[in-house]
Amino acid sequence: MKRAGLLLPLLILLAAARFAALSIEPYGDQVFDLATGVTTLPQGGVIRDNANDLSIDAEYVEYKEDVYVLARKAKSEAGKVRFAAEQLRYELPEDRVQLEGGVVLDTPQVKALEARSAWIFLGDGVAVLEGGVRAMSPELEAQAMVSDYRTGEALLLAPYRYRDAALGVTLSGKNPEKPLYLKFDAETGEVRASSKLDPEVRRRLWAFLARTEPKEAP
Amino acid sequence: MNPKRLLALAALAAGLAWAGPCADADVVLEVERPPAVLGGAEFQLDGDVLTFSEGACLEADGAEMTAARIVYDRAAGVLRAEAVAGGFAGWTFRAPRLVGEGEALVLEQPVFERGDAVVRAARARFEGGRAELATIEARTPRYRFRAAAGRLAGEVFTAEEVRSTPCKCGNALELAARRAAFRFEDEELVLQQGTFRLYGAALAQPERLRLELDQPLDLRFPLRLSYGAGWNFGVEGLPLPAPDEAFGRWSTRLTLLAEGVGGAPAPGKTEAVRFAVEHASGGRRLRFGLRPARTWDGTAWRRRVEPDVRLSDGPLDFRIGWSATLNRSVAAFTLARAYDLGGLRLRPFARLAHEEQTGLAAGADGRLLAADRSFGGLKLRLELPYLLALYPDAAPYAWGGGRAELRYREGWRLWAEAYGVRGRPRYGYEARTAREGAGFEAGRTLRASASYRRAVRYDLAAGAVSREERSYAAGLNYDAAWGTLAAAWRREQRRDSAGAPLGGDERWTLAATRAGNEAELAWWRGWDAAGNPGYSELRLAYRPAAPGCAGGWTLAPSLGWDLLRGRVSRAGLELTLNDCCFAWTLGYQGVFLPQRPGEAAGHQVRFGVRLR
Repeated sequence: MKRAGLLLPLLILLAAARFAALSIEPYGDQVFDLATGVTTLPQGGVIRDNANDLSIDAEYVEYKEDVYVLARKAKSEAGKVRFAAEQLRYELPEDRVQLEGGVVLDTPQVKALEARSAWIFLGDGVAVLEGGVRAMSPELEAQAMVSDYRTGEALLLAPYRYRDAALGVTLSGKNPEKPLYLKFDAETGEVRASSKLDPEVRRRLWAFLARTEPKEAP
Repeated sequence: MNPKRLLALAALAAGLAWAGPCADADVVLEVERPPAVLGGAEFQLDGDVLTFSEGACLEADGAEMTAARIVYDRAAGVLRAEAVAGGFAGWTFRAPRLVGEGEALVLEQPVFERGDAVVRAARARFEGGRAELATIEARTPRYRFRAAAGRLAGEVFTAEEVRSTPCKCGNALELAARRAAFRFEDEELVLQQGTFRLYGAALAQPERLRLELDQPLDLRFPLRLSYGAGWNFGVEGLPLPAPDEAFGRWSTRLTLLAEGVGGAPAPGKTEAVRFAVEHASGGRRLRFGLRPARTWDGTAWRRRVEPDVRLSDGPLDFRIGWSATLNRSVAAFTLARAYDLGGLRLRPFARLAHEEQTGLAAGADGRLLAADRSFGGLKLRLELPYLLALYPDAAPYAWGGGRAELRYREGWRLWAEAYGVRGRPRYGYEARTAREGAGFEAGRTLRASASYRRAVRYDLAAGAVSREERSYAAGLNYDAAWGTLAAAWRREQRRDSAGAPLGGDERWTLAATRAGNEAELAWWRGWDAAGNPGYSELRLAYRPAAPGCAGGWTLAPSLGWDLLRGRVSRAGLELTLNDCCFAWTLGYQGVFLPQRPGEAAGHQVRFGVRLR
């Protein structure tokens, strides 16, 4: 009770507080744990990171300044991408967002991209989706996908299936060594696809797969 | 990789499993129009153009193929593949190009192959599990075909407006048909509403005609015309086609031949008419023939009728014939059957014969394979042939021996054999020669060979050994890029049963071939019992290569020179007129100075025709 009494004025003080990077708009309570430095928004709220043009709207949020934001049942936007997941973890020092469970991602090129988990590297403008990757427009399925949503490039990892309704063709591959490279033209909407990877593309996009290993929980 | 990821990968992979050549492709593309599956190790989509390279594959409409490159242009709706090879309904095919047109895939200038059969077409269109071919040219080992259109579906290839010919080139002999069905399982072709044409003239119009595609075509020209101590003319082996019989596989044939008609009577001159009807089907043969003949003995004609009857069916064989040495008819009924018992081949027989003797005989012959072994490239084979005959009223007759052969790859071969007899054979059927010999062959491009043989000839009519022959031979063959060169020598020395010389022969030959042209120079000489020269003749013969499909004529001359008398001993000339299909031959052979014993002076003119 004593602790609650101490927390209350702090809550009021912090209600419209602005951190260096994040701005917080809670839907209800905001609980700050002095021992851990973790703030919890049990009724959820909207978190904005102006540096990365990121906003997170979630039913539950906890965050630690300059370290992480954890959100449940979150919908989020970062520049031109929008994404939602059961759980979202934004790691501030790494500038990356980890999405777990029921991931749905909209990039300028691919709408309603679903996956079991995903990583979004905000600084690089790259999303890595893993596990049952699928989308309706264009229609695709893949074991994993690396999407550079700024340049419109993507890698589909085998086994994959990509259907182009306009072309009337379905592409599939099952050699894990041979991903499919797709490049979406922003202006014409045309798609270039190739199983031959430019070494530069391979080096750049393939590297993100290695960066998706989960970090130890703080 | 975690188990979840592995499971998801397996599930996806199962959904992508193709059975055809695209099964192992790294990238697979399903095209909706035309419905096809494409694949390859490398794939590229640039604008509207899809490209598969490095082991590209395609599956559509029952056809499976690989290609150097497959390109699909979406905007144009065109699929193109280069250097295509694949399979369809048991056929393999290759084509320089494949084009997808609408719902169909079209091969340009494809070549389909199945066994020995080759089908070329201007275009082949795959649609709905069938292949429609246009402007077809097909070739089996025995026939060439052309057809306006055809269709491949499963085991059957049907064609329309078919023209087929057994000619190597051209179509002087042609079988045309409104429709034809090739049944490759039965290896036969059935022509319907056919027309049989010779030099464009329709000879027959069979409603239905069957051709066996891979069976050797028996197209012996049946007409005979020649002159040599009288005219010989008529037909020999003229087919009498039965309904539904395969073309060139006629089972019934007729022979009606006049022999030695006209000319001045000379002692030994024979005039005859040979008549025979022969039927062969399956393992059964039936021949009924007669040859009424008369021979001038210097004062009068001696007449006779020579029978020629044969019936054989499986182990049974019955013959009635004429023996010129016995100057009477002979007959035999034989029961024989061969058994192959691995290393032992056994053929028991029983006979009732009226030949040199009259009576029964029973026995068995065959061979025992004593050794057949390989030691690396070295091969050893040892065979022991044998024969045993028993007679109810005479001592048994046995013949046997062995033959050993040692061979090292294609490099060299050594052989030796020896066979001996015990007792006396009563009939020609079981009589075997007691003989021995040895020889070798070695080398490849330059091949040398030498052999020695000794044989003891037995005279059945006399019931005694008539003579012994020893022959020696050596040869050298050079097989060069420009042709072949062969030199050979052979000498034969004959002795009577007591060992006294009976004379002999020797022959030296030098032969060369180059691009189908053949030339031979030979020196033949012989000597009598006393060792005095009997004859010595130099012979020269040349045969040019047959001209190509365009046809043309060739002349093959031959000339003999008697070295003892210094005059021309013989001369011959053969004129061959080749059209695209047939080779027509008119030959003359004159013997002016007979050389070998039994040779008579005279002239011979021969006319013949054969399928090229």
